Amino acid sequence: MLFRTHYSSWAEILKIITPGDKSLIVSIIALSIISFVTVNHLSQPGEFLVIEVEGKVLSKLNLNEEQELAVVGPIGNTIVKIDRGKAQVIHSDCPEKICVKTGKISRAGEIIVCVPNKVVVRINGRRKNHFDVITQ
Amino acid sequence: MEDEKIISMLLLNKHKHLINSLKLTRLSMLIGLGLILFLFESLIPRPLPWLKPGFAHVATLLALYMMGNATALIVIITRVLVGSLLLGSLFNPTFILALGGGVMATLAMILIKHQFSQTFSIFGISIIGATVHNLTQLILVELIIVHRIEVFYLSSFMMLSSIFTGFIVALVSYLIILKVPNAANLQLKHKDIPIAD
Repeated sequence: MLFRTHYSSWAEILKIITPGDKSLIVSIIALSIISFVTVNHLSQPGEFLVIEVEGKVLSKLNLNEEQELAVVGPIGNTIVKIDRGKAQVIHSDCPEKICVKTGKISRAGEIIVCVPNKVVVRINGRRKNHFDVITQ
Repeated sequence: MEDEKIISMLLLNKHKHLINSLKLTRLSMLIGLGLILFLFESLIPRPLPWLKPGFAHVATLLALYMMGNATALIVIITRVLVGSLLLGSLFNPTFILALGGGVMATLAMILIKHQFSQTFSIFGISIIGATVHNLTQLILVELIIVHRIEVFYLSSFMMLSSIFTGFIVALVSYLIILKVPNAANLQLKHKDIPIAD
């Protein structure tokens, strides 16, 4: 059934997609929408910026105060900038610059991670737990 | 005595578990394919750090469909090991993420293909693999690196992207399977494979 060798068109190739596949795709889309809505519903504007290096809390900053801070990690500096309630990593010594590309964060629970430099920048809201239950 | 037994077994090729040269060649080709795609993929600039097309899983999917379950596991583990050796990321957090995600995705694909081979085609199996890969990596990031449940904010975007990447990987694998002579037979009877001309 699966391994025919001659197909005349793309439409014919796509015919091997079973109803099971289609319902799988629909259910994954539904699941992602549900998790997106749940996450957005639970999130709130942030109040504090928490900077962690190697799993230890380095400092807690007020998000409304404009400032720049250089964090020293195992491989170099990570510079965090706070501007009008938004936080951003503007420079990092890590090779891939994923933390810089993450961009600005402003809502409670949002997070910037620099894996090579072991720096985590996250925003806390008033409530401590943003989730009631996580099932995996 | 023991040595003589082993040598005679090798010579007569009686032992079923001994790997034959054709199987070994195909396995090496699949690992090589996976490695090339893995290295090629690491050169592509990514718009978002966690968004990766996962072309290297073409090799895993091909191994699963053409040579069987154990081969798929061998291909994914060897590919991740040698790939990270080449990229210089062996045994660092990225390596653990790649290995964990890859092995879990392959195990999920093996299980689903074994249990529900009639329900899902290669496209469904691949999408399941991509989703399991992404979610396993999220859980691993939470457990090993970040220790914050906030990483699950990404889960919805990851699930959506895994539909697209899984579909593309399945399409590429399927087009390759169509072009390989006697692909369907490879998994069933290793002894009687006619050599492709």
